[in-house]
Amino acid sequence: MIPNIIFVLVLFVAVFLFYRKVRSISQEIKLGKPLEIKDHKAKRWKLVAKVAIGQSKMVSRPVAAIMHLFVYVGFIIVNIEMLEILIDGVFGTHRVFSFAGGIYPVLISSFEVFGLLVMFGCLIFLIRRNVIRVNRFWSKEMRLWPRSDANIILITELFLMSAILIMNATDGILQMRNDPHYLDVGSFLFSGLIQPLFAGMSDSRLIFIERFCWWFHIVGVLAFLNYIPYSKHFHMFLAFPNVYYSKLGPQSKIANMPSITSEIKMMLSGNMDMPAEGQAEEIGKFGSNDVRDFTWKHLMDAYTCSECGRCTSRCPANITGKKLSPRKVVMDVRDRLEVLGKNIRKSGTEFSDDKSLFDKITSEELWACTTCNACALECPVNIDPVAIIMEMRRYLVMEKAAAPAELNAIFSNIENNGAPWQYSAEDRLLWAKDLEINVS
Amino acid sequence: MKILVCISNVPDTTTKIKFAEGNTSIDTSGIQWVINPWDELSLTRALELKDDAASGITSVTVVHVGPVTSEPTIRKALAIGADDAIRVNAESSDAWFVAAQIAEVVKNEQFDIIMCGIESSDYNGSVVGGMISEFLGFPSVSAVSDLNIENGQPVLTREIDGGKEVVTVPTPFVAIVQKGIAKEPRIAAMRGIMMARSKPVKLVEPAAVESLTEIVVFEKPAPRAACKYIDADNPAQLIDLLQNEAKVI
Amino acid sequence: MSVLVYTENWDGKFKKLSFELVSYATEVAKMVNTTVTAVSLGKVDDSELTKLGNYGASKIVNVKNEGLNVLDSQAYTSVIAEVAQKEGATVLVIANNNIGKSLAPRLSVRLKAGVGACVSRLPLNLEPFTVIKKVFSGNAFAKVVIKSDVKILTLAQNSFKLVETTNDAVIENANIALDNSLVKTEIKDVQKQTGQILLIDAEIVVSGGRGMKSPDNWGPIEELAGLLGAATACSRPVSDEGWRPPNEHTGQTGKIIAPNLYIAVGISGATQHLAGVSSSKYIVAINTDKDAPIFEAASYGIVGDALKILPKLIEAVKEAKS
Repeated sequence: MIPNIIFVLVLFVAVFLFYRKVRSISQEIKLGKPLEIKDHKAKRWKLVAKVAIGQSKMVSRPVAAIMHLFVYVGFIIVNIEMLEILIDGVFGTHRVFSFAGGIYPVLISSFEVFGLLVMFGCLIFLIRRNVIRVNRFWSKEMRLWPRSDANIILITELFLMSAILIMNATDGILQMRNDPHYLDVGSFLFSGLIQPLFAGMSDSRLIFIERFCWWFHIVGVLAFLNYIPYSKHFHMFLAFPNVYYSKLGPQSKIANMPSITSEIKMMLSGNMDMPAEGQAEEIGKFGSNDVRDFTWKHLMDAYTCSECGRCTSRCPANITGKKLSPRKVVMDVRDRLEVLGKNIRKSGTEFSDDKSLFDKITSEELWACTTCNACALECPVNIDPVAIIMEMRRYLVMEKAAAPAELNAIFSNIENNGAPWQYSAEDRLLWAKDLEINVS
Repeated sequence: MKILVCISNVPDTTTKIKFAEGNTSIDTSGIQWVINPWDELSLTRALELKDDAASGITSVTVVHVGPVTSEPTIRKALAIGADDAIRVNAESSDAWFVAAQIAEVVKNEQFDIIMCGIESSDYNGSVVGGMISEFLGFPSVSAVSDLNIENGQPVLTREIDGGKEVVTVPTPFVAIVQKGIAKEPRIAAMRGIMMARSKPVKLVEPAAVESLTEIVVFEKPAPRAACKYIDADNPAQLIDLLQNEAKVI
Repeated sequence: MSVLVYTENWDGKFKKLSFELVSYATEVAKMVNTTVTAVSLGKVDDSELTKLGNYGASKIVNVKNEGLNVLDSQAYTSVIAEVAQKEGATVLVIANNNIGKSLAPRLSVRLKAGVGACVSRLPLNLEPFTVIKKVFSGNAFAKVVIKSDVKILTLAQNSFKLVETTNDAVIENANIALDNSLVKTEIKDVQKQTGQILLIDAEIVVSGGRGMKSPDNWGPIEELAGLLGAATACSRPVSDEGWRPPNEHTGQTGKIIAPNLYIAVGISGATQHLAGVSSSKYIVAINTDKDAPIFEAASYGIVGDALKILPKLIEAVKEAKS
């Protein structure tokens, strides 16, 4: 009885905490400006099927893609077992699904196969990160927490899968010893192989180990569940909506700003009706210098980032030694959003501090971007770092005129001479001087 | 502290200057008018100082002596970031006239620092700033390449032959600024352009002042003799020409 | 009646510029039928002052007040104006350098005198008093009539040839009362450029532009300058990049110079750069691009690679010297 009550309590607390954290993330994302994405529903669902469920963009790195497939699929399938564990925990049953008969050991065995694949995948990942030291895991933005985060996740999953196997192994032995609680449900494939490790132990010790592993596993999973929203592993959940709401159509198409379009139309039409005073204030800030100036989609992008670094590894600016790292830009937005979110929860939505994104993301990084969109094309969860960079550039140019001097000179020259260079407008047609071209 | 920046309206540097009316005036058709480059740097520095909260600069006003056709240039200065503008409605006949008008404006308002570019790219006179300060009896510092505010006190760096001096003068004063006062001229951001429409341009009628000089006719410089080319394989010939023909070495 | 010329001194010594001013003033005095008085402020020895007589000054007014050790344009203006009024000066001649630019306009208002700024030639006429000056950054000339009774002319450096005469000038140590409260400028720090020839004083200048490719290639320019007794200069991109110190930048927003010879190496000759050097007597251009605008302003030109041509030029100069 008591274990059941404890279990229910633990379950309740875990789910509640998880729900609360996910809700605060959702609130933080909603701090962004509104944006309606209700178009092309069928196309979007197809994209989710292909990119999020099908992981189509992972294939550019085959080894990682296969390992990730193991972990991804294994995770989903092994968690079917979770259902049985939950019912066992609440109602005090043991292997309640074993009523299914002969198919039960086959199921459990297949879970074990996937569990092993997960472990294999995690092991390879650990080796790639820590031994082989694949470049994109060792960039400047990947020190301290992001590195620990990745390793914690992988090691935790190794432990959790091990716990299942050990649990099954000891369970199997107890079954063979005809313990009343451990009814014979059939032998399990891989755990059977490790049974010799435990064969010589006493019943009480085996029960202890089996129960320990059972509790360790379920509490571990619930704890891990709550760890996920604090870590890059959250991409597991956010990838799906993020892909659904991602940009359709040509990746490099930059959206016009409606306020500017109307300003230009007014100028070109020779319309001298000056807009009313105060219109400039109504339009609001151009671009973004802090997270609340982005749309919720930009902010969802930031939270979806799994810190894989494929974007940075394809960025031509980064490859040629510039300071820009698209991953870092996205991570900085997320970190700032987290801090701001925390402060807003404490002090209310009117909270503002003197900080901005430019404390972390320098102009040098932003101007190195060529808007080639390699990062956006490469991202397995359809994050668009270019959109974030463009918004920040818009702030620099349209609010502060803080473009690099070369660009400002070009703006001045176009304004004064009608060309990006400083030549007299009269000399424009000198190139055609001795050619027999009629340029009038 | 309030800064007044004097700006003049000049043809863009790349404009090919043409004359009209028997060479007694400039042909203004096709001219692209801009803020005098030195005044642009001057305005940039004033705005940089205002951006720095520690400087104590509360506003930057621009003043211009010119007809209504100068308005676009004044709006440009407002778009770059000046808070408001004053236009003295008169043709800028000569430096004495312009300086006298600006001095009248300053007498009617309070400014702590008056900034002028050391020269304008049209008539290259280099006198307006000094004249304004003498009309007002203010101290003036010329050839200023740096202007900072330290603990509420303006500190200027001026260029002297072969060096620099760092000086202070009491406000109000006139700073006549040159290259180095700002690294790059600031340009108008979108925000500035939109806000410039609603910034005030005060119209002032000119005081009665006679000009002391008058341009009577313009002349084109004599076309330079064509360049004499020396063979790249025989540079010694150049030295010979410089020594014996041009006689400069 | 007289022509008053303000002769600046540098640590008690006069430069060629001071003598140019006196020579010019002497010619103007001949035109208006009067004599030249030079006014000097600060500590200058009599032996140095008499040199001014050699260029035509008949009287030298020396004002030694302690308060004049700091250049305060208000104080200097009041002293010079007083001298001008005492001497009955109808024309004042001042240099068009930084100090001249700070004094001429103030004197103009003080004496209600029209200014002919940055002239390089003698006045064309006396009735009406007409001078000719460069306008639009050297792209045109304008004939300007000065209508006031007193006129101020600021003379461009190195534009007027020295004319030596023999003259016994009278030195007058003037006692001008200077209200020290007028000296409002306080000097906090001074940095002087030592050793090298000042760019604005140099008669020959060797200048490098972006065509030199890298700051490491400046050796030949410095060597050639050394051999010719020239100052070194550079174009704006070169000083912006930090290849050369900013005080070498010549151009519209840099230094405007008028040497006898300006050698432009690897400089394309953009309008802004030419505005700073177009008053040079002779311009030599060395550039790989035969269509570079600098050749339109140059008197002599070599189309070729500066890095190859400079060493040969250096050899030729060494040869010519020996």
